[in-house]
Amino acid sequence: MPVEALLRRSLRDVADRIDSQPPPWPPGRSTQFDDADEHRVGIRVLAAAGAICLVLVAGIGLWLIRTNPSGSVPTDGTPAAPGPSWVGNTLATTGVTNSSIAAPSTTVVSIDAGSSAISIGTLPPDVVAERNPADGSALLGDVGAQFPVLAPARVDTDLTFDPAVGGAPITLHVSFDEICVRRTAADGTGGGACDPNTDPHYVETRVGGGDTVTPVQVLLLDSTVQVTSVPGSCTFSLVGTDPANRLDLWACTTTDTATVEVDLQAPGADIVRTYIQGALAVGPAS
Amino acid sequence: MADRSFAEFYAGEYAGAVRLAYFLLGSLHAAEDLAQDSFIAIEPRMSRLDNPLAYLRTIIVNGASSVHRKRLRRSHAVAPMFADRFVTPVEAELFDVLARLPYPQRAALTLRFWCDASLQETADLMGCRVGTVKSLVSRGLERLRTELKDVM
Repeated sequence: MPVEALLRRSLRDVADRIDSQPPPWPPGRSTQFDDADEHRVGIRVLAAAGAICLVLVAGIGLWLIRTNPSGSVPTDGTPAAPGPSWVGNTLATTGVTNSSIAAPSTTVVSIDAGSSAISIGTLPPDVVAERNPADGSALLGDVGAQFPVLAPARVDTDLTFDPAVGGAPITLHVSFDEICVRRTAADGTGGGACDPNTDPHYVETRVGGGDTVTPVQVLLLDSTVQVTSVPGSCTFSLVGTDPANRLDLWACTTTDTATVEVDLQAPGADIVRTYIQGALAVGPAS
Repeated sequence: MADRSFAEFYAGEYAGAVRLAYFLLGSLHAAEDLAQDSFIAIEPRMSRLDNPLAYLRTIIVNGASSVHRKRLRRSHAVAPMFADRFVTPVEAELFDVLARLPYPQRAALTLRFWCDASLQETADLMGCRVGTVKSLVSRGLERLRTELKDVM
């Protein structure tokens, strides 16, 4: 039996055995939801809001104590010593942070091996989105992330695009045409577009183009870099040994608005998730 | 679209939504959760949708993708897929291979061979190009063919 027929029949047979009845709609609401229930819900909401306020006040108080332990206020006109930035503070206490950065800014995340110290900074935008003249798709360029790897460190990234155009419902169309990872050499060379013919430190995966069926390709030119890719998401694992190594992610997408979600994890550290989101200034195809 | 229309849509498509989610996630419990979440997401937008079924399937496909990504991060805590009573021992080998396929391949095969979606419809549902769908289906079938050659 052809595998197509076997698959079709098995899926149909198993589906027929799943007799899942829809629960009442709307979910989680009793048909006996009366005024008393509403009153109780209101009290619970108020109690929850009060608890959140208490936690916030306590958190702000602790933060103030940490930034100015003596409690003294400078009176000689000198500014108070700056406290930790919100990024650093968050990382120091929880190891997890979120940041929204308008494209095409570039996020720099450095991971120091052997500790959970992770810092996130922002580089000024130096590359704008441009349209690929070949097929009109938008090239995100530096709207990816550059990860200076202070080796030996491990970077796991999960890259997805969520177009949310004009306030329409986010349908999570996960799509990209090309993802490549390029190591930048210690002397700074290796920039520009990914080109296997000119860039010796070059790793790329292609997951399709037009109607051309193109299997995922991994051009592995450095044994310390391992790349796997599937359409819609990518998982990169990089184990670097050269402190000058830098992992650049480049992505092409056909959408004008994209969310890049990057998860980073250092040994022994929590996942740091960074969002880079914004409408890309995409010009006409040249 | 009035509430009654949504109620009809919910009653008519719930079972199909659970089944699609089941094939993508391999667990009835997770499938029912995802189906419920998907209907909750679609209800307020129902009146603006030209094709609510396609939208529902898109939400499920992408929701399952998110679940899959979370599973990858916590691979030690992943329950075996298709361990429910719905899969007979005869079918177990096929579904075992299906469970080990990369998620996009499993999704493409499910949409093509269970939902009977065309290549273009599958591409729209998955948010990728037709060429990508062809590649996913081709590689998925090849993997099934290779691993099930003793069964067929």
